[in-house]
Amino acid sequence: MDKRKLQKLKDIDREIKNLDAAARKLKNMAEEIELPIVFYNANRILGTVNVLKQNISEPLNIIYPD
Amino acid sequence: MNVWNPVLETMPPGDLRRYQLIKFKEQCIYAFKNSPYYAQKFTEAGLKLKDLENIKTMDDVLKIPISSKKEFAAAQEGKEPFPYGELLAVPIERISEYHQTSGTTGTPLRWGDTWADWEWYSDIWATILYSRGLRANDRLYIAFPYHIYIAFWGGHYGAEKIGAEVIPGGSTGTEQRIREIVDLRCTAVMCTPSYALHMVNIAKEMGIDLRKTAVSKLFCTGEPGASILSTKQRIEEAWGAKVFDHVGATEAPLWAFQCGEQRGLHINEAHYLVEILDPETLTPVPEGETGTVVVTNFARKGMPAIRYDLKDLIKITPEKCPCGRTWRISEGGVAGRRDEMSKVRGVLFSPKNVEKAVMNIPELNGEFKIIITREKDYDNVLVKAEVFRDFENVRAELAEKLSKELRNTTTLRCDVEILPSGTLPRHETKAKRLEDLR
Repeated sequence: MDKRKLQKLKDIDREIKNLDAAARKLKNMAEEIELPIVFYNANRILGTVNVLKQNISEPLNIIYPD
Repeated sequence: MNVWNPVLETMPPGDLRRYQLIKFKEQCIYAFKNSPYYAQKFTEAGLKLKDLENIKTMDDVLKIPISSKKEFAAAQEGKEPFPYGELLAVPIERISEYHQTSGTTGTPLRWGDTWADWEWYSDIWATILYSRGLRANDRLYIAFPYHIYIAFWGGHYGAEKIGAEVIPGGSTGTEQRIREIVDLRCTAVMCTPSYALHMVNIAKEMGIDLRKTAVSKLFCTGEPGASILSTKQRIEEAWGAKVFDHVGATEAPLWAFQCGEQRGLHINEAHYLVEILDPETLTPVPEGETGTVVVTNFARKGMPAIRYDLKDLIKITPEKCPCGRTWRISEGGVAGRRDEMSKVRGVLFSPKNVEKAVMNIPELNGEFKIIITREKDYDNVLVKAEVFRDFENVRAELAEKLSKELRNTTTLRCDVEILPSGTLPRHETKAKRLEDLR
């Protein structure tokens, strides 16, 4: 894979991790004050982010580790 | 190039195999720690966590025990938590989707998916639909009853993910579905191959020529038809559209699919480790030889399936697909299922070969049924096939023609009965073609 594309993918991977962290934080915060609308929607977002982790982050980290 | 995820779909084969082995190892460790079924299965095979952590090669993979549908069913029957039993690998409150198998080969399996599993499932559907050119400007009609079977549910969500407009053709009749496909100017249709042919026959009776509709793509599954050349050609000619096949099971959805190039089935290497094994010795067969499919899913966490014997028979070809995917290709799709291959008079008999014979006769409408009986230790095969209305006066000639075709495709002498159109039962999901009464 060419360097420029790999760098872009690494940038994307970083943003995926940020999204994952943000959704997890939301879910935890919502749990603390019993806010179902945030808890359950954050849970759904995590499901979607999980697809990106499985399909982009994990293969990148396995095949092209830093 | 119609590639949904270039990272995995065009990964060099060496890297891909390395990635798969790591994912296989991770899933084994996960299952050992979380699934009571696999904890017991691996322990009984003498495997410890350390052995799983040391998986590095395909030889290591072969040390992991194979599971069958029968074992999965036994792990659920009367076991807690209801209804998933010992196969469940997450707290039950994390399950948000319930489906079950049809039970045609025994007790139905109850299958639970978490929301993340369901997202994964819709994403692999998006992968295959995108590979065939489905886009946001498409209008997809799903001719499927939307019931307890998993079938096209993922197709609905996968198409939505791409942004295509999805029309649920749920509980309604065939005539109504055809009208909706025509009136709404649908560009793609999802259904079983036998139902695609049934719609052709009904449309004819309604005076509708499906070639004049906007449909350019048909996504078929559930039966082998879309990979049988004569069936595929018949559907493509009648609809004036391309037909794409893919295969899967509730336990392992979409493990292989046909891309836009229509060159056999791509193994879904990103999400499965697919092994092709000798059915007797359960050791890998060389490329180009037919073997039974054993799959491991990498991502599903609700109910993992590791080295699961699907009983499907396929052959891998060394041919590379011009689509650019590095994933292996299976020539001619699924050759049959081990549990559907029966011995008739000492000869291996597959319903797929009967379908080939029926579809080679243009006067027959594609509906057929096989009944196997035994009288005085002699196996008898009766094939009942329906004729188009216009040819009902030449049924005797057609019976002779079909008998000859069957001799070629099955190598057996079969009794034949040609029936008027509309005699045999119709199926919106898997057509039940074989009745073995021995």
